[in-house]
Amino acid sequence: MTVVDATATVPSRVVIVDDDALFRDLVTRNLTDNGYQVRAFGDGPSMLATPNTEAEIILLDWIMPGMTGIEVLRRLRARDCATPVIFLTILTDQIYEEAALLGGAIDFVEKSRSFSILLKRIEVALAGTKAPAAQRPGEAPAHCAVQLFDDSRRISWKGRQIGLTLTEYSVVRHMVEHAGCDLSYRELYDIVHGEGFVSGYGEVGYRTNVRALIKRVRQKFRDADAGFDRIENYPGFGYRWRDDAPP
Amino acid sequence: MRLRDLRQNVLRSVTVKLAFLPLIFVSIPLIVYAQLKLADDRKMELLRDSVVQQDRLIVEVLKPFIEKFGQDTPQELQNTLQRLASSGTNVKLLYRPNRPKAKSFYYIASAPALSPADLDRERDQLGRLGIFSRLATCHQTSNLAVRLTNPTGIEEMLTSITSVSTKTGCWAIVTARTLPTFLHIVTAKPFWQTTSLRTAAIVYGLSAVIVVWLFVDIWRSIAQFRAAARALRLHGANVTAFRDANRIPEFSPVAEDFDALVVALTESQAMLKRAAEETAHAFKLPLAIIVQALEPLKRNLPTSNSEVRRSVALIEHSAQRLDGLVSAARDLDQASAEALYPHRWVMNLSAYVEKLLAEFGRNSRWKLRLAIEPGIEVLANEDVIELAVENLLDNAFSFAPPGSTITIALYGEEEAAVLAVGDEGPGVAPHLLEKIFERHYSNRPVELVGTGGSSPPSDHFGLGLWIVRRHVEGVGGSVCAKPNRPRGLTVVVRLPLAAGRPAIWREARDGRR
Repeated sequence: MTVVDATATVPSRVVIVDDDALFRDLVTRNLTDNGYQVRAFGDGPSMLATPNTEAEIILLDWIMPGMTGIEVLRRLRARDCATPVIFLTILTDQIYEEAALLGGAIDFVEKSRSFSILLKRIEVALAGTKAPAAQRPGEAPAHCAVQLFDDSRRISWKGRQIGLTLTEYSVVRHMVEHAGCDLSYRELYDIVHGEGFVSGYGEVGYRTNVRALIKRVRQKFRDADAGFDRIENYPGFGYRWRDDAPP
Repeated sequence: MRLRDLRQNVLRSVTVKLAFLPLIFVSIPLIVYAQLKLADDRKMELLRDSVVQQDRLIVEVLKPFIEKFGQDTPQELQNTLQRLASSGTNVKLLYRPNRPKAKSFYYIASAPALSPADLDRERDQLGRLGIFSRLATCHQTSNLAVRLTNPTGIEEMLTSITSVSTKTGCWAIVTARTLPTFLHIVTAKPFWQTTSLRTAAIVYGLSAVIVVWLFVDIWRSIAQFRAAARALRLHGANVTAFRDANRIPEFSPVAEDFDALVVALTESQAMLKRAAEETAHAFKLPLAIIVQALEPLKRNLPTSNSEVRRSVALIEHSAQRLDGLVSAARDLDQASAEALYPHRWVMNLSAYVEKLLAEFGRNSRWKLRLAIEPGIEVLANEDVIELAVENLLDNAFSFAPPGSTITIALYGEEEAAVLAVGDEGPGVAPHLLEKIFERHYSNRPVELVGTGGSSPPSDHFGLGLWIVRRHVEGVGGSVCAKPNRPRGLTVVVRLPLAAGRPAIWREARDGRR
């Protein structure tokens, strides 16, 4: 019945902080069923006050009585606790996501997404931290302008590090892997919000979300290289990473 | 209509009135001065005329006495002379007998009276001044303006000399005015130099300065009031309170009302956004629990029971669909709230649209025809323009058959910038041109419309044009659709031109961003 993470010899420890008891218990149970060792807290202060809460990953709700998730994150970082934090919240506004990533969170997942998406994100996050710090160029050969470092989920453009979030990294990686190919909004959106999410319900959301993400990514590249123009719109369809080869 | 507006504006403008004010204040003294000058000139003329008349009168009165000189006693002539000479007017009577040897005049009488010795001396003085040489013929009158200090030390001005010829000789009647009298007549101060008029002029000047200063102050206060209102509109209530920025006490109630209005507007905008988020939050929590609760259920389902598996899959599917709908509703509500009090400033639409289009890169499937007039500045914000351009292009590309031409035109009209995106797709029937902007309305063939259900998912939900209109109207623009020539649809966005807007609109971006 219980599926244990085959790659891990010791079960990964997850801390979840959420004020909704029902949701907290369900996620705890689902994670436990998937082989994680879970400790659950109803609010930030009780988690911060409890000793021995070391974990490989922390899931934080945003809106909680007493102390918001972003404040919990701030206090954790102030204590030199570098445990990766994923926000698991209902707030989906871009500003919350940006604030969370700026505060040091590595991901931002909407509560109402299916459990498999959450699981996938946790796995991705854990894979990132477990990997050695060595920066081994990933997909692209060293002479290319763009270099991907899958292990640390970092990217460099013309030798300069580009600070991308996990989802941004995933999107850029996907585009670079399919350089020269047209990628639809939908395809990119699925990367942002997790594979397996049945598309088609976002009505307004997904195009706007993908556009906002691409705009952000472009800006980050342009901060490092003002002449960056590799990401092109594919009218009415999506985007593409322009191939290195001259036209 | 526009001429009337212009006239109204000019008539009511404080600035125009202020410009006229100095003109009025300067022209009134000029008119008054011209009138006084005219009166002055007439007065002087009259005065001089009266001197001449007086002199003539003196001569006429003396003539009979001269005619019968020798018959009366010299004292009688002297008395007459004294009577004629009023204060300030002096008369001198001289005589030259008709004898071959007599070349010079003898003093006969003088008023006021002088001693014989003084008379002689004065006669010599007159002779030296060449007065007598003017009487070569003894039949003439000449007006004089000769200054003389007589032997008694009195200064006088000789005004005329008249010669009267008799049988025995030639008489010379010299009239003079004492210098103060003469000066009073000829150099009488003009009106405008009198003390009373000068005082009046100073009072007038002062009041003019005060009135102009008052007007300038009012004008500046109004300008400042206007600037405060605009700053508030552009930078938001958190930067300045209108009441504090205003310095005219009389406008305080207006400023306070305005403040209250802005606060109400921004608060209701924030409230609408918060309400949208809270509603979404409230709906999504139970959904999240449903989704999480399904997990153990899914895991423990017997693989054999496909009926139950299908039911669980449907529950999960629907929960996710509901989640998407809740998100969409929240996004739309927040967009509506944003449009309540939009952020806008002067932006170069031409440059921004070109930049957006450059991002579209190479394109082989459609022909893009661009006609972008450079340098068009509008009141809007970049986010709205990006959203509008992307949605309009998406819409055009989704209808346009490959190989067809998509036209993007940007040009300035009288008061608006026009951004038109035209495609050569199937177009829209005239009676539906307005309907395509309605929420959830789509003119697409059914198979292309996203149902989100069992049919293949599509990207289109009939929201693109609705969103464009909502946002463009939010920054004071308008959107409409018309048939494209020769076929297809053109969507036309009109945005208020920035031309002529004060500089403060240009700074707005920095204030708001």
